[in-house]
Amino acid sequence: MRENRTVRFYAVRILAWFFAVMFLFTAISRVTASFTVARVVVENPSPRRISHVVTADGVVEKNREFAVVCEQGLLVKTVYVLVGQRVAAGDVLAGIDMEYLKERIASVREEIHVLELTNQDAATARDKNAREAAQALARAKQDYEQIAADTDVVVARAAEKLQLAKDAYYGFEDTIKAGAEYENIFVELAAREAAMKAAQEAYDDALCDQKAAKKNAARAVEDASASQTPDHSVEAGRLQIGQKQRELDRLQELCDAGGEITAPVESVVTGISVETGQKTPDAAAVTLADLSSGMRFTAKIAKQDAGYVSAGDEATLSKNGARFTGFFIETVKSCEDGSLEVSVLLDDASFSIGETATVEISKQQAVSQTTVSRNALCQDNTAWFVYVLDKKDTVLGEQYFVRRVDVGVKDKNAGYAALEDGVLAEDTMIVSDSDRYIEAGSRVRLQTP
Amino acid sequence: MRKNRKRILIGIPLLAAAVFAVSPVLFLLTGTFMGTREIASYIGPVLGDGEGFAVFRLIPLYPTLANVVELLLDSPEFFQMFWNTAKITCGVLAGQLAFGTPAAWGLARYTFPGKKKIYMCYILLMMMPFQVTMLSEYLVLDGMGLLDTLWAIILPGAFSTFPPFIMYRFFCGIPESLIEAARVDGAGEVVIFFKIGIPVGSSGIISAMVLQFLECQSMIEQPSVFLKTKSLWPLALYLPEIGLEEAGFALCASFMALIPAMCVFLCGQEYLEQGIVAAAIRE
Repeated sequence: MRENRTVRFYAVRILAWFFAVMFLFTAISRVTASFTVARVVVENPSPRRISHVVTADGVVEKNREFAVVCEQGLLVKTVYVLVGQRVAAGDVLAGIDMEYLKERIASVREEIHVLELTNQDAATARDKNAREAAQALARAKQDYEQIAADTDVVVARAAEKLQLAKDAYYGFEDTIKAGAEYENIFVELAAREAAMKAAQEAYDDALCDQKAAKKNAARAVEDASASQTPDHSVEAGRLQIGQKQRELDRLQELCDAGGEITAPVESVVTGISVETGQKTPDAAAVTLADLSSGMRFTAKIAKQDAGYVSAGDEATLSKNGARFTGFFIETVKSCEDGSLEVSVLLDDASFSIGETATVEISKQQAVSQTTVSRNALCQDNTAWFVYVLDKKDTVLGEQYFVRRVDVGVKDKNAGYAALEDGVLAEDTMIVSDSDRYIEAGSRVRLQTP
Repeated sequence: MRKNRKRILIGIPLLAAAVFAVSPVLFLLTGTFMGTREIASYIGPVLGDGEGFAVFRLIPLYPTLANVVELLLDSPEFFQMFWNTAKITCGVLAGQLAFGTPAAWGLARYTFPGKKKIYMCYILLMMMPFQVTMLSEYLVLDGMGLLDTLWAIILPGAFSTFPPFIMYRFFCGIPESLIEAARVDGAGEVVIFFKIGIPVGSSGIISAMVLQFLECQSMIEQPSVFLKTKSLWPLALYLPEIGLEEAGFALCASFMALIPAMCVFLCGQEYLEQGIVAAAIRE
């Protein structure tokens, strides 16, 4: 009995302690669970336009450039400007050594004189050659006619002799027919035939000689005609004189201007090819950016943003905290690395060449019915997905668990993502933020705002 | 000498039988401090994940407190269900004390028309398994709007017929002369019930409470039918949901659930023996 009472006593005490411990660990396990359960922020899919704001840093450049040319080979005495310097119309860019210039002018004048004299000589020589050539041609023609006449006579005589020989031969035949002696006839006939042949040969020779003589005379006439080739040396000389004259005019003009190379319009110096003490080059001495034609802002757009920029898009420029609106993308050029080079025409005096600025191009897509915040979109090796909240009845009551839903992304920017319709309902709760790592099946609780 | 030999001859088989009967509790205790992999290697063949025969060790090869720590610190679900079980048990016991005890006293000490019929109804209802009365209980509870609440378990348990039957036997054993003497002394029926009936019949009341406590701890049919909300489930419904991958945790949770029952048993062991006798009479 006493034993039973002792056993009952200790059993009751153990039971009481047991319930106390269970109560304590009930609280501890709840606290522990609250620490380990992630707190999430949820949102519902909503219709929205996805806008893309593309920004890029760039520089203001010249829009139109022109060259200030100076006569080649002049000695530069002083260069008055630097690259990037703004100059007004009439500002002196560089100065030429006057003595050298005057020497050059005198030299050109002498050259012109020499050319003129040379041209005169050339003209005279040409005339003389022409006369001689004409004379030679006339003589050759005369010779030809003479030869033709002479050979005609020879041929006529040979023809006459031939005719006589033929008449003799054929006449003898008639004699034979009249009854002359047999032995003398053949001898006579042979002699007359030989004479006829000889006359024929002489006639042929005469013809050949005439032909050859005429041919030689004709060739002489041709040679006389061919020797009269066109001679343009005088005209070339005149052209050279013209060039030199123009050069002289330019040099004189430069000399009248005091040897100063000036800017024709208000502009910015973009390049200087002359150096003090050096000769002026064949190319432009100074290149200037014409400010009257405006400026151009160019920037490079990254490859991933290239699809959102096109010519004609509205652009906003900003520099030093100030924003300038009302610009448009003028040109878009693809680069080898996939990026885009864009340019914006500037007519705003707020910018100057060489200045850096930032361009901002904003583009809005069509309204998408299912958009979520960019934080809600997750990606692994296989696909894009979101975590969706499911309410389940558990032992601890209604609790939230996350479930992975694979989605297709139509478009996205830094803030939002447009998903393909039909995957998520309007009232679907999507996890957009969590205070700790979660995965499919994790138990979570809503973060109170 | 002969007596001792006789004791030994009887004792050994009894001891073996006792060890055999207690072995499940020992397995629970051992498994509480065993890792899940070690348990899976032992009982895997039984649960279909291995080949050969299942074995078990009384002393773990690699003892660990991981299961205990996980249960006590990282399982709020276990405590939710534990307290659900506690609420159900307390409600049922309180109901039995409030309604079952007077009912048993009335049936035992008073004579009234229809007493035998009522007693037969008690016997009849006591004999019926839960599956027979389940539908009628469901309809009544639904009509009262108590489905999916703890009252759906507490009320039928509070008005269960078995505890009054146990207490009835004990109240019947109180001598009538004691009651008459109290009446002669001017005690009213209520005073007689509270001053004589309950103290003298306390052993029966306690044994009934202990039996009812043990039944409440293992109640599984009523909660699975009447409770849909998981947050109201008692421990008996939670333990079967734990799988092999958490075998160690399951054994630890089972052992924790066993402790209150063991304590109550030790408290009412003496009265329980009397109650079992009374139940045997029922059988």
